Amino acid sequence: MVAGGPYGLEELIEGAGTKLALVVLLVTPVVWSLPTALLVGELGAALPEEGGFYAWVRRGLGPFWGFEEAWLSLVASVFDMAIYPALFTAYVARLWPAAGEPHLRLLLAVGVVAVAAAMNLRGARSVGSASVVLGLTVLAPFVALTALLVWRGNADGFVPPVDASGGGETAEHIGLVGALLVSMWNAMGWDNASTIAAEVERPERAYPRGVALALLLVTVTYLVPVGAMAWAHVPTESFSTGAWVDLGRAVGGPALAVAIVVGGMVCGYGMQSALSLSYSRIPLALAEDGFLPPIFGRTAASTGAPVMAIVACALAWTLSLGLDFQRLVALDILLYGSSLALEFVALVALRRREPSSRARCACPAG
Amino acid sequence: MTGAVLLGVLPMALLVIAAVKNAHETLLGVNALAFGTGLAALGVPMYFLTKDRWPRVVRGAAPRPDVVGEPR
Repeated sequence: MVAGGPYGLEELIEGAGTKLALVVLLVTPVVWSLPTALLVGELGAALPEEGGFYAWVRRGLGPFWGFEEAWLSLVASVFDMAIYPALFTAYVARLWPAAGEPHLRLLLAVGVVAVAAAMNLRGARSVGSASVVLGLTVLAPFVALTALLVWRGNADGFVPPVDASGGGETAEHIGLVGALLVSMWNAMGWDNASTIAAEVERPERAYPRGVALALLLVTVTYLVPVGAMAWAHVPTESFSTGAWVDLGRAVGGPALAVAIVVGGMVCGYGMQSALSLSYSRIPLALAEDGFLPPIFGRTAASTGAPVMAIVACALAWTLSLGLDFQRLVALDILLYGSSLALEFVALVALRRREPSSRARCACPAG
Repeated sequence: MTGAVLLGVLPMALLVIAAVKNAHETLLGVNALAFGTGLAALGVPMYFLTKDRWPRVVRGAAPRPDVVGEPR
C-alpha cells in the first residue's frame, strides 16, 4: 500500500538527476517514512480496530477530529486513486501508443478502477494473495535492469541510448521541489494498512514487523535501480513517466521493455486494488458510528467485503482521472499530510491518556 | 512523551515546505493550496450535517471469513 516498485520515480529522476535523486531517496525515508512507520507500528498494534487511523484519532481526540481524519483521508483518496490508473495507461502507451489518446486513456483508467473494485468485492484475502504475486511481477524486471546497467555500465564509454520522448505523458521539468513531492508521494501511505486491522490476526506482532520490513524493502527497491543508473551514467533530461521502458529496451532489448511495461501495468493495478481495500473500510467505520447511512456498513456474507463502501469509493475515484500527475501528487500530499498531522497529535494524546496501551508494542518512538 | 512529539516534527516540517513551495500550482483555475484547504475545511460542516443522522451499525459477532495475516 506504500510502494509499487520504482515505477513513478521517473519524474523524481528527471527533476533531480540520479545523484541528487539518490540523496532525496535516502533522506525521505528517514524524515518522512520512518516517523510514520513508527506511529503505525505503535498504534496499529495497540488499537487494532476497523477504520485504523480514523479509530485512533476518534479515540485520542474525540468524534469531531475522528470525522475530520476520515474526511481528509477520503478526499485525499479521490486524488491519490487517480494516479495509479494514470500510471497504468502511461505504461500501456509505451507499447501501444493509441492508448495515450485522451478517450482511450480515460476508458482504460476507468477499467482499472472497476476491476480493482470487483477484486475487492471478493474480500480481503483475495486482494492480499494477489498482491504478493503482483509484487514479484513488478520487481523482477528491475532486478534484470539493474544487473544489466551495472554490467554494461562498467564498460568504457557506455552511454545507454535512451529516447524517453515518446509515449510519456509529461515532458515538463519539475525541478527539485517537484522531485521532493514525488519522493514524498512514493514514500507515504504507511497508515493505509491500519484500516483493515480488525481483519488481521495478531496485529500487535504483524504491524511493527510489517512496517519495519516494508520500510527497508521500499528503500532498497528505490535506491538500487537509481544507483545503477548513476553508475551507468544514464542521461535523465527526458526521463518522464514510462521512461523505464526505453531504458530497458536500450540495455536489455525488447523482451526487457515488455517485461517493464507489464510490471508498470501490474504496479498501477496492484496499488489501485490494495488501496481500494484500505480506503473502502473508512466509510464502513463511519457507518458504524452513524455518520453514513447503514447501507455503507453492510458487508457481504460470504466475503466480509463492504459492498456499498467499495462501489461508492470507486465511483468517487473516477472524478479526478483526467488531472495530470503533478497536480494529483500536490493535492494528495497536502490532504494526506493534514490527516497525518492529526494522527501524530492523536499519538501524543493517547500516550498521555492511555499509557498502558503502548505496552502492547515495543516501538522505539520515544 | 517528548519522543512522541518529536516524531511528528520532521514529517510536518517537510509537508509545510512542500505545500508552500508548491503553492503556485492551480486546479480548475484556483490555487491548488487554496483548493486543498477549501476541501479540507468542508469537513467541518459535513461533520455537523452527518452527526447522529443515521443509526449506528452493529457488526455481527460471527467471525470474518477473510482474515489475513500470520496464522496463529
